[in-house]
Amino acid sequence: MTSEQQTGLIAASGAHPEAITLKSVSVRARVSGPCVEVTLVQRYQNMERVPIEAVYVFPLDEAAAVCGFKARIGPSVVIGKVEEREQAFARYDDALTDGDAAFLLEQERPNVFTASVGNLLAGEQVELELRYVAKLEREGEAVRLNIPTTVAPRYVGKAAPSVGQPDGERVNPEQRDSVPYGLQLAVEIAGRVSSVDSPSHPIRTRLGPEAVSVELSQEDVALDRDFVLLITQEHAPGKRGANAYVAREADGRRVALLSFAHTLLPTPGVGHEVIFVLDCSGSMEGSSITQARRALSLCIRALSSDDTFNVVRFGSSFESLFAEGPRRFDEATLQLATRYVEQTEADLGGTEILAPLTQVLRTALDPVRPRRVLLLTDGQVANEAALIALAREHATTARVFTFGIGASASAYLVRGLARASRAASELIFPGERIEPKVLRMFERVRTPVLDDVRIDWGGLTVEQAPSELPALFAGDELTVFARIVSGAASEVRLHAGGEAWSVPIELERAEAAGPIPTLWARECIRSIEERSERADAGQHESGARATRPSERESARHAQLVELGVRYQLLSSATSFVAVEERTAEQRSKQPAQLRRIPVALSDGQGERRGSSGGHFVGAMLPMMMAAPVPTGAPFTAGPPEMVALAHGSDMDTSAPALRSRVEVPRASTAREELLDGSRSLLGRALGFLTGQGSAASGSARDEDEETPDRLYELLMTQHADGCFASSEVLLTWLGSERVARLAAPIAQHGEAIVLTAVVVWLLAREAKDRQAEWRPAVSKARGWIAAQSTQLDAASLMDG
Amino acid sequence: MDDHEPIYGVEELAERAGVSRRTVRYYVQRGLLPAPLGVGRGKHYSQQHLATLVRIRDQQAAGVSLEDIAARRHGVTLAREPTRSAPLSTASQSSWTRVVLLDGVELHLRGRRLSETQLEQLATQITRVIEGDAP
Repeated sequence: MTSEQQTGLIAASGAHPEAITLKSVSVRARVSGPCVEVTLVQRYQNMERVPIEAVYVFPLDEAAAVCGFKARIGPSVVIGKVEEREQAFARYDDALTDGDAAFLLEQERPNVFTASVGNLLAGEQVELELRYVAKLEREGEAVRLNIPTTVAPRYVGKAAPSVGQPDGERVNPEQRDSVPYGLQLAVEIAGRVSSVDSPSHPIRTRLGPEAVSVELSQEDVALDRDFVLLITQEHAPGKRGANAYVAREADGRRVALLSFAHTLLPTPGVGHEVIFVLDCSGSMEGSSITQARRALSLCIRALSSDDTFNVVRFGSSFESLFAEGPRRFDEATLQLATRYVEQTEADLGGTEILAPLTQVLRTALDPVRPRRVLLLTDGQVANEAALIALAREHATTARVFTFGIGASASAYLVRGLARASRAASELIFPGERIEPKVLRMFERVRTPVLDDVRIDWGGLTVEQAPSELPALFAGDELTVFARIVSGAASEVRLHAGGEAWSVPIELERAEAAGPIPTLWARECIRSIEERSERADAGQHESGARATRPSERESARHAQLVELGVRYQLLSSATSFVAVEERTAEQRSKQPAQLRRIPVALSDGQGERRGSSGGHFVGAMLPMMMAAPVPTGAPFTAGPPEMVALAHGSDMDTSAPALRSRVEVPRASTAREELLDGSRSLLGRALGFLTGQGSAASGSARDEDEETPDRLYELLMTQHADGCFASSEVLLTWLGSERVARLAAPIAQHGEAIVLTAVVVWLLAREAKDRQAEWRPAVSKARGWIAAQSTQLDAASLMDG
Repeated sequence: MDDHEPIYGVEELAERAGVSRRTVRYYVQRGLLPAPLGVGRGKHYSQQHLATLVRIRDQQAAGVSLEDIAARRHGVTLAREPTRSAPLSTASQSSWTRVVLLDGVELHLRGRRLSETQLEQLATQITRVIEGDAP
C-alpha cells in the first residue's frame, strides 16, 4: 500500500464535506472517585460566503449536570448565562436580529441537546465549550463512563397536532452514513486504578503514579457510537456500608452526599411472574437484535419452575408467545420460548413501546407471584416521558428492569423506566459480554431487595434528593444527596431491611469545592422533570390556545428555573445563552441562513452500516464476548500495537489489565485506507488464532456477535429441570478421549446423570474465570442431581 | 400600502398570534412566513405577516403537515381534508374545502371544487374586504 492511498479522502455521501460548519468535537474527561467532570469543545467554521446559523443536535450522558457554557471567537471569550428557556431564546433571537453573534444551548431531553451558533460570518470560527459533571453508574466492581456521540434516529409515533417545530424533528437531526467531523477524546482517572477497559474503542493508556490517562488510539474517530470506559479503581470509595461527604457552597450552605452499598444474600423467594418485552423494531436490526436474542435466551433459561413467564415482542404492533397469559416454566414452555426467540427478527416496524407496556402492566396481577418486567430495547423513541410516567403509575405492582442495547441506546429511557418503577437497568454496548450483565440483572429480578431504605438525618433539616429513595438491589450502590437547611448533627442513621447503620458526618470539614452541590441540584431537577405530566421535556405549544399549563406544571417550571439559575444548570426549563455584541461595521446585514448539522448514523443499525463496511477494511477485529477464551488466559484481545503501555517511573504494582477490542471507523476526512499490510496480516492471524477465521474484516460486523461461544452454547442445552443431555458442543469440548471414557458409566447409570455431573465438573475446572456466568445454571444442575437416586463422582470418572 | 397599517415587533407579533417567538423564527426559517421587513433593530412585521402566521398556526393545529402548508405557501393556504375535522353537515361530502383567511374567519366550500387560482382570487377579495382596504 502506498502512502498516497493511505491519505486518500472519502467524501461523505451526497454532500460536500467542506460545507459542514462543525469541524470537530473534542472531549476531556476527568474521573475522580464515582464522579466525572467533562469539558466538551465543538469547533465551528463558516465555510460559506453568507452569514449562517448552525444548529447541532447532540447527546450527552443522561445524568449530566451541564454547568458551564462559553464561546470563543478569536481572542474574545463570551461566558454563557443560564436563563429561563423562553427568555434565553428571546435574547438569542434579538441578538440575531441585531446582527450580533449569539450562542444558545438548550435541553431537548435529559440526554439530547441543541447548540445554536448564530450569525457566524463568512469564514468566521468559533469554539463552543461546555462543561458538565455526572455521577457514574456502578457496574459490578467497576464504574461505567459513557460518552454518547450521536443521536440515533428516534421513532416518532402519531402525536397530537402541535404548533411550531414538531418535537420529533427537534430530536431527529439528519442522519448520514458518515460525517466529516471527528472526535478527539482524553480521559484522566485520578487515584489508583486496577483496570480500564473500553468495549467501544481502541484506547491508549498511560499509567502515572497518581493517575491514569486514556486516549483514543486513533486521531479522529467517527462520532457513531458511544465511548464506553469501564474503570475499576483500587480503592473504590464507599465499597461497603455507608459513607458521607460534605461540601460547602459559596454562600456557606452545606450539601451532603451519602453513599451506601450492602451485600445482600440472594435467598430464593417465591416465584415471580416474569414478562420479557422485546423490541423488534427496525432500529434494532443488526447487532442489537442478535444481542437481545442472546440476552433473552439466557434470561429464560435462568427461570425456575416456581416462575411463570411470557415473551412479548413489539414493533408497530405487538404479540405474545402465550396469548392466554404467562405460563409456568417447564421443559415444554422452555422449548416453545427458545424457538420463539430464535425466530425473532427486527422486522416489526416502528417502536410503539407504549401499547405493549400498557397491556402488560394493566393485566390482572398473579395473586402470589410479584410481577417483573424485563424490557430489551435500544430506546430510540421520542415519547420517553409518557413511558416513564406509565412505569411510575404501576410502580407499586411491577418493576420494569431494562436492558439498553446498541451503540447509542437511549440511556435516558432505559435508566428512567427503571428508576420510575424502582427497578434496575444495564446498558449493553455491541460486543460487550452480555452474560454477566444478564445474570447480574437476573439476580436482581429474583432476589429480594431493600425496598425500605430510609435516612434519619437526626438533628438536621434537609432537602433530600431524590426525595423518594430507590430500591437497593444486590451489588448496587445507593447515592443520596441532601442540602442542609438548618440544624446540627455528628451522625445520621440509615435504616434498611430491619438493620441500621450509623454514618458519621463532619459538617465542619466541608470541602469548599467539588461537584456535590451541582449534583444535588441536578438530582432535584431530575425528580421534577420525571414527575412532569407534560408529554415531553421541551416547551410545546399545543394546538388549541386554551390549553395552558396546569398550576402544578407552572409551579414545577418555576422550581426548575430557580434551581437552574441558582446553580447555573441546564434543564428543560432553563438554557444557556451567550451574546457577543458587535460593532456596527461587524454586524451581519443579511439574515443568517439556517444550517442544520447532519450527524453520523449510529453504528450497528441494520445494513446501512454493512453496506459501507468496505470503507474500513480490517476495521473490526471481532474478539469480543463471542471469542472462546482459553481457560486461565487473560482476556486481552485486540491487536497489540493498538495498546501503548508506558509505565510511570513510580509505578510499582503490576500493570492494570488493558483491553482494547475493536477498531472503529474514523471521521470521513480522516478515513484512510486503514492499516498497513503487516498490521492487517497480524489482525487476520489473530483472528485465526481465536477461532474467528478470516472474519476479521469490516463486513463481518454482524456475524461476529453470532460466532459460537462454547460456554454460552453449552448453557443453552440445559433443560428446564436443570439436567444436561448430550450435545455437539459438549462432546467437542470434552474431546474424543474423554468422551470414550464416559461410555461405560453412561451404560450403567444413564446419560442424563452422567453428563450433568460431567458438565458441573467441567465448568468448575475449565471455565473457572466465567463462574459468574454459569453459577445459576450449575446450581440448578446440582439441584437436579441431588434429586436423583444415583450419585456420581465426576472427577474420579474423568481423571481416573 | 396604507401608511397607518400597524407594524409589530416579534414579541408583539408572537403574542397576537398566540405562538412563541421560537415558532415565529421556525416558520420564517422554514420559509412558511416571509422574513421581517426593515434591517437590524428596525426589523418588523406587518398585518399580512400576522394573518399568515395565524393561518399557519391554525392549519398546523388542525393537523395539516408543514410540508402541505409549505407547498401552498404562495397565495392563500388551503386545507382540503374532510377526514380530519368533519364539516358541519354530512350532505354533499364529495368535496369540502376549507380556507383559513384570518384569525376567526374561514371559508368553507361544499359540493363544489374550485381551482386553486379561483380560490386564491376569492380568498384575496374577501380578505381585502375584511381588512378594510377594498377599493
